[in-house]
Amino acid sequence: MTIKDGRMGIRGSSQPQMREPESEPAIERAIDETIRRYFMRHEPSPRVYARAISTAQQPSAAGRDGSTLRSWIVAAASATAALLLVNIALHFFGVVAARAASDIDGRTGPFLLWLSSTGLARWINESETVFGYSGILFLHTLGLAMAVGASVVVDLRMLGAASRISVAALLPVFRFMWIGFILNALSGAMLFAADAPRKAANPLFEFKLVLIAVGIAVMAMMERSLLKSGSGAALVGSERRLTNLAITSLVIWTAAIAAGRLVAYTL
Amino acid sequence: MHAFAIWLKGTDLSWLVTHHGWVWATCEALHFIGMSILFGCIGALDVRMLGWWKSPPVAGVNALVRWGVFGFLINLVTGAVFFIGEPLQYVDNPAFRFKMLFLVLAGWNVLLFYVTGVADRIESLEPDDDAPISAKVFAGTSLFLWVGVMFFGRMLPFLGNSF
Repeated sequence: MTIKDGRMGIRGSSQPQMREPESEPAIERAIDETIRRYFMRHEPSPRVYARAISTAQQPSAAGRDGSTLRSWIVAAASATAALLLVNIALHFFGVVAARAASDIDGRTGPFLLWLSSTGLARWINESETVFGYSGILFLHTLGLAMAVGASVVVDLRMLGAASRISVAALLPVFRFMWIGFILNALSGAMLFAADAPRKAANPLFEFKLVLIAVGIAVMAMMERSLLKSGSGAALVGSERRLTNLAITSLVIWTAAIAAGRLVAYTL
Repeated sequence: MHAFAIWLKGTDLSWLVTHHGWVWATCEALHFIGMSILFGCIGALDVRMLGWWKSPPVAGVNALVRWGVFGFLINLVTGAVFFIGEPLQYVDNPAFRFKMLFLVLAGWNVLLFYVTGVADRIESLEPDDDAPISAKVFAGTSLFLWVGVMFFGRMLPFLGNSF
């Protein structure tokens, strides 16, 4: 996108700032048109572009070496803490969930009743084939691996691993994350429909949804940040922010996975 | 195999795993976290070779492979914990056998990838370079096998009797 910006910059600078003799803007326009055509035909290849970016990033990457180790320790400790916290929550919520489960019929609203009576919900539950509950559960796992896997790749790079991947080259990875997320939103909705009253009564399930919302928001912020900075030079200022987002993302995904696993075991 | 499973079930370690709910739950969470790390980092190299993510140099993506190995080790340990805890629900489970088969094939694929020199040949690929067809075959096989491992892992309670 920086290539395009550059091209636009050239076109933009051609606008005459004030009234000038007739001939000069015409010449300028002609020159500008030549430059524009040149760039149309000889757009710098992504390889040249990526090299330029990684060169631009060298000093900042070197300057971050000291803080990289600290980032790792913070990330690992926080992820472990998140995992432990959610597991402690199991014992607390487990009691609450069991109580809620015994009272499901009394508290199930009309929407949940309707949802669990739909043909889709009944088919998911009753289908014995791999296209039923088990297959949807597999798609949910595949989507998880894609979404969190892609996030992990971005986070690792932000924390200093695989530094030969230029930050701009990371942008296509977000596409895989979004595909995984959409897959999981759809499969998750179907799994919810199949078991709506019990899932809705489980506080861990709500906790999981909140964690996913935060996790996706963090990833969207990272993507926007990278899109905006575009070139390596503009990235230097937002490095600390991106490192913090990467640590937050690892913690949130760890907690979301732990919560999701526990939903399956509490009810 | 059955005798081994029965002996394993009788050990103190097995008792420890099944009589503390948090051990199983924590290992489950770790198993899925390890899976995401493994799939993300190995899948990154696979999609680079397949040409679906051509913007980084292959050498850069190669640096992620060690993290994929880290994810695999997490899953090896937590998977062993499940097996120690409830060996009898796995030994006869067809899904478990298929999962192990796919796991062995995936390992074999990795071994061939490095032994045949394909890994060395693509090491120098710069951004936007296309990988040779041999590398694409290894990448496609890898993705297929890991998704297969995931599929049969997920099918453990449905094709068999595990939880």
